[in-house]
Amino acid sequence: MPWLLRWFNALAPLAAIAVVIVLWWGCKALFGIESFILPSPLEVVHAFAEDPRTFLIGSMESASAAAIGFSIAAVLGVLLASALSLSTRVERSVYPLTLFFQMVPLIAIAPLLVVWLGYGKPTIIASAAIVSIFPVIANTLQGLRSANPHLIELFQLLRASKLTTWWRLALPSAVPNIVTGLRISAGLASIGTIAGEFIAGVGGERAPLGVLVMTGLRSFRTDRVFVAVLLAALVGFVVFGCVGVLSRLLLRRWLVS
Amino acid sequence: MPTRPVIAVHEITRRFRDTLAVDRVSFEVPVGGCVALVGPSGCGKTTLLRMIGGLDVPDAGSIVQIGGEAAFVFQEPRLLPWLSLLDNVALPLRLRGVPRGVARDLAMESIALVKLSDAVHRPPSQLSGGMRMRASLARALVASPRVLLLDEPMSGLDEVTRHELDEELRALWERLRCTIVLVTHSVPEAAYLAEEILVLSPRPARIVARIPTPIGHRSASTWTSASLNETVRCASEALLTAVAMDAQQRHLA
Repeated sequence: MPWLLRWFNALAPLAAIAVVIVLWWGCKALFGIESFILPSPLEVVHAFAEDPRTFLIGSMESASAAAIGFSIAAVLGVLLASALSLSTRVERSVYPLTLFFQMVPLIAIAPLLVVWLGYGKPTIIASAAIVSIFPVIANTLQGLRSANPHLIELFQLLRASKLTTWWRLALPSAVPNIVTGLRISAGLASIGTIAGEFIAGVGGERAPLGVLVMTGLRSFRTDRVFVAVLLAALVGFVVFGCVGVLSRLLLRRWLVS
Repeated sequence: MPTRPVIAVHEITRRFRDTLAVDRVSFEVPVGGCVALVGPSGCGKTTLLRMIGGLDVPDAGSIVQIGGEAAFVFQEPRLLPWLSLLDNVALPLRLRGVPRGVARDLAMESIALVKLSDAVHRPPSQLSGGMRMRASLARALVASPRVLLLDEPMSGLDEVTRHELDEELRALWERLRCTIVLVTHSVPEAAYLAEEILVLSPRPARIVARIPTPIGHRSASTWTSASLNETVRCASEALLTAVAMDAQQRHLA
């Protein structure tokens, strides 16, 4: 019965979520956990329903920061990797420096970003970009080096300049690797956004999710914290999903070859 | 009627570290002529062709090539997988800064020459081996080169496709009259396509025989299957003798 199997495959993830919710509820009821430690799923839904505007605006703020930070990382990462690939000497000297971005804990540089960019969105975007740029650089570099030597020779024969060879050969050859890098960094961008909001987020009318988490904690509204956390996960999922769809469209041409 | 050579190769030698690949080879190709270099695999014939095309530099000797930029057809089609057939063929023009519209129009003409007009929008992954080779040939022809260098273009193809393409290549050459240097390990192919066959020895490549073919005489009366067979026999014999002598020398050494 293939249709049954198909339904099962489609419903299996939903079933897993349902099981988690039931366990969550069961734990709370069984051990009598207080709501400020573990609110029930219903209380979480309630917390969202009583103030949907704040949460939706917060989600939009976080999503846009993540998307902008990710886009900056994508463009800058590809350009930086391309610049590095044009000269092996430059690559050898600068690549370790880019490793710095991978190694340095965001929490450690975020206060510096606040000093330079102030509280608010620019710092949050910057932290999303910093966290997510390294996978783009590393994967793009690998892709740029992977161009078929036969085709490189063809371009030499046709007297193509270094820049033309990059644009028409190296970059298209690197697309599958770039897409891999973008997928990794899409996930990281939303993490960087929330972390940036913890440190540099501004409250009030347009408070982003990271700030809503903090204010929820401070006012012992664990139910609101839960809403913000779940929405943050949703934002990450949406950003990752969009990149996934885009990359699949982009790769269609490359995968068949 | 002596014609001015478009390609004049004089005593060229090429060495890779301590192995000699090409040893004092000299030959000329007249305007609109077609010369085939035939030799056993790995004898250095591709190296020779690459030097004529400027992809490699000889250690000694000289190459004069006055036909302008030579177009190369490689053993592999070397198409860009993400471009359509049309854009692949237009590539050499695009790299020279020809506007896309003009380049595509010229590419269409070139594609028509190799009879692939029905497949212009397909990516290389949707072309057969023979079609890819035709595409590669169309790309070489797109800039109307006066010199065409063919490096075993048919080696990856099945027998039937190969015959078909040989025939078309011949028709194209008769129509376009560009100067061709063809590298192949197939004697019948060389005899069918070229005016002169240069038989090369196993590595290092030396010319051991120069055999004119029936088309070389340029008269219909001599162009019979009997004369073609005779050419194939002569060239094969020269090739086999060269291989046998080489084996003997190696044995003695």
